[in-house]
Amino acid sequence: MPFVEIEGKQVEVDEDGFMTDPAAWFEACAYYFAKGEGIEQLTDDHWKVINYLKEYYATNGIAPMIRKLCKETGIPLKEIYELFPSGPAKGACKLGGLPKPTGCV
Amino acid sequence: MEAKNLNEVRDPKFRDEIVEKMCFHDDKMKFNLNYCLSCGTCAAGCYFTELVDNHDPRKFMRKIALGLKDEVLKDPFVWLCNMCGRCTMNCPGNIPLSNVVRTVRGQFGLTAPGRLQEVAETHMETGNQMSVSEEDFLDTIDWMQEELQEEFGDPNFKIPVDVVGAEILFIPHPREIKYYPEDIKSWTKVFVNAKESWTISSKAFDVTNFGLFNGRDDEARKIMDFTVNEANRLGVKRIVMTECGHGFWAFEWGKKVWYEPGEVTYKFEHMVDYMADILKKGKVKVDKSKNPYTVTIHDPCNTVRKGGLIEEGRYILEQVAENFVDMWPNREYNICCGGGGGALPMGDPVKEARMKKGKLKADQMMATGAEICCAPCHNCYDQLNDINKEYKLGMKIKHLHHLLANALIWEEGTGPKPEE
Repeated sequence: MPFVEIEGKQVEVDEDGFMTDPAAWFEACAYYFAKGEGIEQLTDDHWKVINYLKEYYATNGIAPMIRKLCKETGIPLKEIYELFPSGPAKGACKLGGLPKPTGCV
Repeated sequence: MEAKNLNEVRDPKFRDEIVEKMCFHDDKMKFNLNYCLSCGTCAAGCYFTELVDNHDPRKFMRKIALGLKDEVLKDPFVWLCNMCGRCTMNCPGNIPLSNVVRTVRGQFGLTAPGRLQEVAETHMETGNQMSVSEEDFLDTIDWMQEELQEEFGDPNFKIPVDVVGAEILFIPHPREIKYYPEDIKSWTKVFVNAKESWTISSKAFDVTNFGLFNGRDDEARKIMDFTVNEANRLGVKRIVMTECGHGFWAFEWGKKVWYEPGEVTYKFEHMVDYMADILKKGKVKVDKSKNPYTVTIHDPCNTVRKGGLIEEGRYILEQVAENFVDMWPNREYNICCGGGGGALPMGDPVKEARMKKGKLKADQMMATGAEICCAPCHNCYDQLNDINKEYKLGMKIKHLHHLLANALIWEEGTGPKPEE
């Protein structure tokens, strides 16, 4: 697996650029992956989504349904795709350091 | 490399063993791998021969012809092959090479690399490849139902779930439920506009079947059983499936090879087949000016080359978009997406090859000048999106139902309320 350097630290990622170890995540990772996703600025709403994903993953070991994400963060579906152009699975999960969701995503 | 005496390493029964373990729907189709002349027509047909390392169908078939079993079982080609069937189109022996690959994958103790096997196992354990629970499924359907109620201005509108005796059972892809719920609204509009008697199921909502790619027939049948049992329970007459290429082909081919004759009699209709039919019959009316775009179509191997749905997609796009342009080459000769055969869930081991193969597709897409490329297959859709990103094409990738739903003409008093 390849490594990327974020603030002087070596972070392991998979072939699609997802972190392989969510526990190794730190805040600068989100900014680093945001650049690759073409997201210029991380707003409060971005952080709401990222924090919810991290929390859900820590408890359940899987990424949540987008239904839960919208309900719990109060952010409408359309805005999720505006915030994360690659969508919740490929975009938001990556910023939060979640491993790439399994299955056809 | 140390030279070996061929007679010491070859297993002369290997060819017959492959044929014996391969599934056929008709014994008359059983063939002798001696028909393979190692002539290389397969390699000439395959778009990816020698484009990436270890990708040469002729070399693979030659190893089989020589009985080099150990060499074949560790040949990277086994997992690099996209099983698209282009190689067989001009084969003088009509060797079904993708089925040979599938048999080697699944019947000789190999395990699929990356996440391919894991996805198949999740499907068998939870009923769908993404572990979506029935409760989460219903919650998402309710959510989209509420949005449609608002859009239609009809608080009583319902998305039919588990309706016994409906004519059509529609099988979605679980990712539409988990990550792309707008798709639910899109295909619901199509069925509502066509005034269909239809239902979805809270128990069988996964069109995919990775048993097609891991080569394990017992697992493939287990996965297919979820849908067949549910269709029987609900007593539906037809099964229509969302725009998933391999899933459609797994059902249509699988009913012949994984079941006894007569056990499964449904015709599995791909969404593109269904949509072309309702357009031809005038069950829906459309206004193409609602999609004022230049649109092209990618031909997935599973729906087009194997499934024979060659003209349907083109027919739909000519009706629903202002300007349809074809790729070159097209139809069953179209260049593959490069992501078939389970390459996406295999992940890392084949990613580099997948992107190299995708460059051919990228050039072909750009040459059309289209703004939108439609792909009636979720796997192609993802591969095209990855290509789009990798080679910065700036195109939009869509399914056909997205454009049809957008072009629908609604009778007065039905459908979406005009925006205020």
